[in-house]
Amino acid sequence: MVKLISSDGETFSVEKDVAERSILIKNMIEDVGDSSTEIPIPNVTANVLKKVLEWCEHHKSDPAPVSEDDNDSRKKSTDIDEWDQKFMQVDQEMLFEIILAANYLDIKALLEVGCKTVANMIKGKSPEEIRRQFNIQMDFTPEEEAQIRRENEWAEDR
Amino acid sequence: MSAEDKRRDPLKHLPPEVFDLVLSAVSFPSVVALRLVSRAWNLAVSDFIDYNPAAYAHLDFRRYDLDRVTPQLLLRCIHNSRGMTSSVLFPCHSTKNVHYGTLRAMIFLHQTLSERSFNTLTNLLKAPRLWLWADGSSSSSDEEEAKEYRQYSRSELLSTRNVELTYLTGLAIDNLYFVIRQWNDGGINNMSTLYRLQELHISAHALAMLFAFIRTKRKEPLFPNLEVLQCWSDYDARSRLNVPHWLEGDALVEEFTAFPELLEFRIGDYSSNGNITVKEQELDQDCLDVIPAWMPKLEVLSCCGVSIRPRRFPERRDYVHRIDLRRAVNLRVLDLSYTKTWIMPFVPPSCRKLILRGAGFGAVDLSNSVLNGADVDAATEARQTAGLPGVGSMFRGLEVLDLSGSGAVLTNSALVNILTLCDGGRLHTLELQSCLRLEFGKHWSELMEQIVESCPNLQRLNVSKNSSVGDGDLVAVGELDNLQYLDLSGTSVSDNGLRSLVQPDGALRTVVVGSCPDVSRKAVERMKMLGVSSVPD
Repeated sequence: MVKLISSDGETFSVEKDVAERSILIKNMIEDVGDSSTEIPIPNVTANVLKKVLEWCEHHKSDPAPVSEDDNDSRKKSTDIDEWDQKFMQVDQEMLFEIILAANYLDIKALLEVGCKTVANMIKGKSPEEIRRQFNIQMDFTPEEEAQIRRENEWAEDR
Repeated sequence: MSAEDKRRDPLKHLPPEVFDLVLSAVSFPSVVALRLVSRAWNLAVSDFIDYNPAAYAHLDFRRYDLDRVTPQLLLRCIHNSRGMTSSVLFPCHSTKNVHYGTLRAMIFLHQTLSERSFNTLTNLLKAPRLWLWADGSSSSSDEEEAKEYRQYSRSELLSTRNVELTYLTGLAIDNLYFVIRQWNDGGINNMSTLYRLQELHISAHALAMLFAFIRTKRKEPLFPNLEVLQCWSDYDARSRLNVPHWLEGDALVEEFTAFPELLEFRIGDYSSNGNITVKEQELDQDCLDVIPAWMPKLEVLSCCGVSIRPRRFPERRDYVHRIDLRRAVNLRVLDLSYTKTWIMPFVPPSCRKLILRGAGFGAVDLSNSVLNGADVDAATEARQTAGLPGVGSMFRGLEVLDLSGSGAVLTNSALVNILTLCDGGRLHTLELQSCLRLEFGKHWSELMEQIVESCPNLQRLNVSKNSSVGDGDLVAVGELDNLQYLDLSGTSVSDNGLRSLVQPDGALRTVVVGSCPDVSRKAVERMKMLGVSSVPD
């Protein structure tokens, strides 16, 4: 078992192979050489770390990712497995926190699932719908907007 | 906005490199429209498109007018991707006009490649490979449009300046022949795009045309590096490509090596998730006749669900006349599942794996030359085959033999004859599921004894769905010291037979006893106790 301490001081005891889904933690354990020491995770709060560990637990027996340069493993963004889709049904604040944690902890697969989830919220939507989706202020002047529209003309759908 | 509002601008909350990951999951060119969201997005998205090759990894033009997807645009995308482009999805305007001679024709139209099989393919294959693929099927047959397209396609796409495509090592395309011929007609003789190809997937219906074309180019092999040639059964192509193109001339005396490096040649396919679905695939006999001469290094040959379209009666379907594999000295795997042949083909001694699931033979006549169809002249045959290995060396190297679902010709004596030709010591897997004419212990207890005697080193034996297999046979099976996997589902074995077969410390790991009416729950429990997993219903 490995002890992880969240930024707000909560302690989580998890199996070593669950914790080692995170490359960061894996390297730390290797460096320390003693898996019984407590590992502080200063950038991740307890409620987020709990979610992340839930994901690691479910995916602990996934095969290790193939080599870095394997472009084809980047599947199309609609391919998120069902469990992960359910897992990612959280509010946007939590979703981004999970993505940030996955990035910090170096959990590639989780980072990818998170980014695909955000991408799926973007795909097929008009700019106005995207603004509403993420509560973004429209800050273009009419001239600027018209200018971009002209530049984008070629890329518009039929 | 209320304090409870959990909506967040991802661009403000995610570091730039992570936001780029999000953008790269949105395919090009729809990502371009995201510039209009806000000033900040405009900057981030523009940077991404200008400087990050990942933007061009997946090009998805399915929602766009084909006209707007110019070759220039496509090539710029491929160029900007610095080799990362791994899929191009196109709208499919599958008319002849479009077919002819354009890269648009190349970017086509494997409509039968479903999303699932597409993913399987891309996972199987390693970069740098570019998959050109399309879906949808609107039909615009605008002659003018096609003409205009041809003009720039020739100059822009196929000139040698555009080196990008010559780095292709894998290509999926339904009818390469049309494209090549159009290059030819347009005076483009540089076929260098094809030289590097290592893997090519085409529609099986286009195979005869492609082969005929290759024969006209015998001075310069078009595919010097091709290692895998896969021909899918493509039902849509059948209606699209209804022009028969026969190979002319005597294919048997072919002295030309069209595919010097080819290792795998697969025609047709079947899927077997639960129910077996076979797509029947008709073919010209000539396409099979050229195999020994054209593909000297061939290691894997798979012809699934293939039937022959006789030259004189193209509307009829016939058994495969012959597949001459005596020269295929490197062949390691032969799969003729769901293909019917007049006579069981010769299996060279190098072959390790022979799969004949549901295959049918007019005869299993192992004393004959085993090759000739009715249309081969005996004298010519004798002259050409002098010095080639004889029937006696057939099956010598087999390690895996699958005769499941064999029809009427696989009788007890035919099976024993086949096993006699095998080097029994090598054979470790024997699959005899559902062989209708085999008679096991219930009628004739010698068969299993002969199997055991011929193949003492079996590790895996499948006799499921043969109701004549009974307890008497299990006594013989008990002699197989290395047997690890035994499938008895749908047989007449009972608790008694299993009790004597499954012993503590035996090599057996798995016994499948589903649908065995005489096997009780208790017997299954006992096997579990002994560490043997069993799979009942």
